[in-house]
Amino acid sequence: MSHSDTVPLHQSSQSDIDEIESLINASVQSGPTTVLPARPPSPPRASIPVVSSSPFIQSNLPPPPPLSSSNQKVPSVPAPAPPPPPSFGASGFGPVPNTLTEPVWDTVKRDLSRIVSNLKLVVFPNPYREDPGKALRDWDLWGPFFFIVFLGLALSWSASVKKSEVFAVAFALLAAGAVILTLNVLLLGGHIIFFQSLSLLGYCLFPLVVGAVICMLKDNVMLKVIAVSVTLAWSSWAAYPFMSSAVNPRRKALALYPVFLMYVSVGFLIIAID
Amino acid sequence: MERESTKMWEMGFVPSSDDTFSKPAPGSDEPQQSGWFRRFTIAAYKPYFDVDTSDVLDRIKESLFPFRGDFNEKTATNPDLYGPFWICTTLIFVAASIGTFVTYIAHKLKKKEWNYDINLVTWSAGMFYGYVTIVPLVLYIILKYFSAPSGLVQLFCLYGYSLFVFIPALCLSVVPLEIFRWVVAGVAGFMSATFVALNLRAHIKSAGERWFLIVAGIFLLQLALAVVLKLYLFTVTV
Repeated sequence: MSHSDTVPLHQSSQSDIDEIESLINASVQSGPTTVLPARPPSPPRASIPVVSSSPFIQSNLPPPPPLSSSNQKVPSVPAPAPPPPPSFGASGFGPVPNTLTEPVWDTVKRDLSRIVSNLKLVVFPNPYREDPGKALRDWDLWGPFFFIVFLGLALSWSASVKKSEVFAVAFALLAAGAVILTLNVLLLGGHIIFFQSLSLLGYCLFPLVVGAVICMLKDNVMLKVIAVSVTLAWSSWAAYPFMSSAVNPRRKALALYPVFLMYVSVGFLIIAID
Repeated sequence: MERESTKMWEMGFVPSSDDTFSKPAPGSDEPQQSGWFRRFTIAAYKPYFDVDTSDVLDRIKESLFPFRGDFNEKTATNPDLYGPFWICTTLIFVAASIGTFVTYIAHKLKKKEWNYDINLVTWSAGMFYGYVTIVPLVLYIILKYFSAPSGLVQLFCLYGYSLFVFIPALCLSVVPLEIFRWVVAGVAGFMSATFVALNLRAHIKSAGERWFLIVAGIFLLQLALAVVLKLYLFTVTV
């Protein structure tokens, strides 16, 4: 398979193209043929690249048989496509297993571990951590969803009358509030990405969820006020770096005040529901 | 062609998974989308949020001095929607929380059972957002009819900032003296109504003879808002 190139291709790209073509031809012939690449084989790859939001997960599948051996059946697994050249960004394709056929528990475990890691990064900000942008890259919406629903449920359990209205108001306030806060930053000329911001605001709600659970269990007014104040301060402190870095410094207060307002109103709702 | 796609790949052009909702950077030259769907882009509303913290604080301070009457001129070039929206939202929260607190204290003093009334939040939201949206809209139409047109966003801006004075008034109304509450509500209503009336009078005096009616009408409307607020939030039946 030689190409009369007018533009010389990169060495690895050429070998990759040749590999694809040879594999296509092999499958077209639909027989157990030997797969002999025209060039020396590229280094063995792990498996099929599937684009997902966490590209660095280890593969569960065994490595495919080396391609240069003869008398081997073409693997029934779909052909591994070439890996990206080294100039790729962090969000490129990587060796990821086929997530459709893995056990459900694996999927759930992976999502849960992502939620926990995002939570640790967002709510316990550590100035010495190695990769400050990791929480932003690996954003997801499951965590915020669980927290909002759980907060609504906690408030609804605590309420003695009109439980479903309380849940509805809490849910609407939090969901609409997150969207409005993001739009506010965008309108003020800030630079954030919509879903990342929703994700971060949802994760910063976690301390208030803890406060709501405390208030649900103990009914003492003084304790409620103290618990809610502490968790409110914690939530605001967690959200501060993300929001303040997104806008022009002259407008920082304009972007931060609504965040504070939303958390204070949620905190007030937690105290008032009894 | 496969050649071109591999070339782009080599150059590092990758659709980033972060680019889910990328908006054009501010100041970038996006070609003007024509048609009705332009209303639904963020870029269409950015010019109304082009204020700094100091601008917003200045405008709030101005709204506390109703007799100057020059708010409209000062904000003519740069009317903003940030102030009205967030003042309204703050007002909703303050109204709901103070109303709740007042009924709580009243019930506890009489040793009666008290339940949180979630309707306070929803009703005050409807009242404030409705007032700041509908009244300027109607006024805009009326002014157009009397050929003294004022920009719609300027009217929103004016009404939004005029409601600021209710925030300290509500905070002061926690004091459980009935006469004190009426005085506070009256003063706040009067200040707010004068603010709106004088600013509008300066604008529409030039055109039409009916200006007095219009100005008097909006003055009374703002006063009515203050009275309704007082009655709804602070009428405690134990």
